[in-house]
Amino acid sequence: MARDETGFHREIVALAPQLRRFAYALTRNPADADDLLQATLERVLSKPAPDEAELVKWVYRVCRNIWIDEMRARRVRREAAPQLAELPEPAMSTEDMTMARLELRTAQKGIDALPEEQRDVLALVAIGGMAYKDAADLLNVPVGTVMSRLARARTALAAYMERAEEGRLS
Amino acid sequence: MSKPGMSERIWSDEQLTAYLDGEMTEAEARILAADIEADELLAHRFEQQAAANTAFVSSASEIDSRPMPAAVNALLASANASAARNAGAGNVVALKPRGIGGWLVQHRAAAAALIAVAGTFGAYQMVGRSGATESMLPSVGSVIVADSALDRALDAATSAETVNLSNGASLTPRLSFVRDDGVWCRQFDIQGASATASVACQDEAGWRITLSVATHAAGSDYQTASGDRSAALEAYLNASMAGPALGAEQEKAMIANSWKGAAPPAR
Repeated sequence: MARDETGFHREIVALAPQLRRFAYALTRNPADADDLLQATLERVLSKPAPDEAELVKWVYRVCRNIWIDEMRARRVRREAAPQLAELPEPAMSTEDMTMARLELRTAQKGIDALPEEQRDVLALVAIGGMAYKDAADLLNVPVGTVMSRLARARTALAAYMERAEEGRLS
Repeated sequence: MSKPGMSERIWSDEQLTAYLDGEMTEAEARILAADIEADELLAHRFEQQAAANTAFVSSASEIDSRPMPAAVNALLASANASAARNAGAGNVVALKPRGIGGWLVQHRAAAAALIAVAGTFGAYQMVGRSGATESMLPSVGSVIVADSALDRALDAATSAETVNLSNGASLTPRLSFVRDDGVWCRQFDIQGASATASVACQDEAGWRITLSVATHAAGSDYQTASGDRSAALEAYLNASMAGPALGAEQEKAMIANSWKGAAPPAR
């Protein structure tokens, strides 16, 4: 049975910041992420509210489907400019903040180097908070594949960051 | 395979990742936790995975520093208005809060906000040597660990009181209110190397995070960026609050009563 519209709309509003991070993790470009977020919100708000238990999974599924089916090819053709330049720089510049930004830039490069299928599953689980079974259903792969993609993604990213750290220290 | 001075079991990267995500059975997780405690190499492998995960989440959170597009704000405002309309149409008397916008402006002006970046603080999780994850701020939908510093602060700190957590971070409750479904909620800020404004609400498991948005950089971009923050937070508060925020005396009474039952009448 569909749930009430009040709770549905409130949850969509609450979910928006997290959904935006998910969109950014998928697209790796802030402008694309915001386009994707907008398209997703328009789509879900125009539909009847799903069951409460299905809401979050459904929203992430819609978001990922729009990205894969409608936006990704356009983005590849456009060859987006380096995304990080578009983000505002921090107003504070203490030594710690500089180091934090450096680490974040390293992580960004490591994340960019991950195969898309690994980034996808990491976005669903680490940002979307999805259980392995739900991520497996959404991606149409076995749970074991979800687990191995996650492990490979995290191990590869950790190795990339460690190599970069050693490079900075040497 | 047994190795002297190390755990007797071989744990795969997949198992470490399942442990990190809470996807192991309780019995298996207990064994792995004990092995991580005893085996430095295994602990290092686990910490590497956790750090990579934190870096990934932090990287995605960087978009919080970019103002929300006007078209998205309009959609959220429309959803918010729709929720308020529907609540008003039912039997619930939806007394919308007054002065929240003004409160947020004051709060933003006072806050020495930091841009949300990864690094020494990380996004939300700090991983100890023991391998146990100490959650600074769980993801939206998660329950705050009972009797953790965060849990105790939400239970006992009054609004505007700043409580030091760990790793140099601090928590400041900003307001307490009852949601339109009768649940107690608190809006609070966390300041560390990254900064968030969040809402946690009580359910049978404890305080559950229902909203979390990054707080943005001070300086010339502050006004624009904070407008982004207020859109999500204000939309949520406007759609959720059943009435005005608790006064100081009412809040103290609720703290004394462990956030159980109804609030005493305002004086």
